[in-house]
Amino acid sequence: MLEDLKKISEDFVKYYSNYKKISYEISSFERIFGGASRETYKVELSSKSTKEKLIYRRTQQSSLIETEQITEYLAFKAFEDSIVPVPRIHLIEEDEGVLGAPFIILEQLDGEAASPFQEKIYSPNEKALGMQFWTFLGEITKFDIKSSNLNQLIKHSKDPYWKQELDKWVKVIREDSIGVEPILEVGIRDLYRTPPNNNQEACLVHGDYRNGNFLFKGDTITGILDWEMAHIGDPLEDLSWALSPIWCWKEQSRPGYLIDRAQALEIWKKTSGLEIDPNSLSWWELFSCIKGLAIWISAGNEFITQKNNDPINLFSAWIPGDIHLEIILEKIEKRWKLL
Amino acid sequence: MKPQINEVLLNLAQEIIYKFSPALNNEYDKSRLGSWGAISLIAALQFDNVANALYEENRLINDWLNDNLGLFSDELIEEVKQTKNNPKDLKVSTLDSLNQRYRSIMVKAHIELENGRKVHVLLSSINILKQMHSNRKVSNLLDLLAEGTN
Repeated sequence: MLEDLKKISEDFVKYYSNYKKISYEISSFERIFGGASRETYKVELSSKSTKEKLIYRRTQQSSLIETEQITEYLAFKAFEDSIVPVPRIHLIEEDEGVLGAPFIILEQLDGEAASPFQEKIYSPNEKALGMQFWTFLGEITKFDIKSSNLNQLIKHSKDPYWKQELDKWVKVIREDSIGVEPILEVGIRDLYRTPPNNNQEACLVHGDYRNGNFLFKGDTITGILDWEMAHIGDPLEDLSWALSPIWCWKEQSRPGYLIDRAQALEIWKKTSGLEIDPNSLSWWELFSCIKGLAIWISAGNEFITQKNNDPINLFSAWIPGDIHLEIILEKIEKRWKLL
Repeated sequence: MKPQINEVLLNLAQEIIYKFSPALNNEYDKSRLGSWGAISLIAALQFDNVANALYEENRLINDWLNDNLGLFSDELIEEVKQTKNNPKDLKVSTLDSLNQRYRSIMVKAHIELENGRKVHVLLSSINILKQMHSNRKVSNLLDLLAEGTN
């Protein structure tokens, strides 16, 4: 592990010095724990005249969610200098031959990221952070994708967005499951049987918008991170993911351990300018469980097949997977009564 | 009598979490080792009940399927009849293999019942699903995850 880190850091500083035409030395180079689709390093470099704090994000050789660096790059670029805070992106390298894996290099922002499972982490600033969190999501939803580089993410399909997304995650489940789970199967069938309304205009979907995926300092959100699953889709997808009880398991009326659900929805509606169809939101909330389970099942598969034995993968399969099953289980009775 | 495996795992977890993990300087390695400690703790807590939980789950599904046999297709009836809840031993792997077969049949049964709108029979399986979930449930150990991913 330490040998790997040494090589990665030496290769990085050589590359970056060459890129900037400045001779840098490493002041510190640390891997950040967590995150199963990217290896992320906090880097501090110094030269005779300057110091730089960077984030170096490499595609993992084996990762849960196969995503391309360009997606994250486009999203960061799109929101530079906007109301939605994102780190400034310095460069992207998609050729894995250069440093062994595709990567992006970003500005390192002030602030800390919290585990989404720590209920008191935002105290005493839950209200201020919550207002920003839901406002930024509304801003992302209403972002004009057609007149930005994000239009590259638009896929032309005859299927509605809900079906594209559901098909995508069910495929992951079919490929990676290591056992039969009747509760999950009930949920999948229910989603195909009762599709949501499809009358909202497509928008940018962050793909993993939740507590834990933003940086904060005191009462201010300093950066929205982890855009690697960004895509074009339905406005309710991000909303339902951020609302999921998994991110506020111990206090489910306060999504993300921030502000009350009703207040969160009002802020999002006001900012995005969209109304919420309750049946469609309910569909997307169940979908969030299926999407979550696909991710956790994939993590378990990575672990059991030894593609990536990082303990985060086993944790993901055990605990979040367990919570999402429990949420589906709570919904099943009501859904079956509607047959 | 020598110490049981779950007790050994418990000691291992405590050593990792409280002794070895805090001694590391590298934050990434410290978090990763701490996670292994938490995983060992979960394994220790789950270990004792695994075989019993699988045995009970198989019995419950088997009973439910046989109670409602008349509602299923001929093909499914045949599959239920061919699946006997008499495992050759009580190894976890043997019980789990049988459990996977029962779970698979249960999914097929649910599909047939949903298509036939047999809501009351579907609802009668809710308690088995709850039991099934409860047997493997570890979400009550969520605090470990918060520690582990910190």
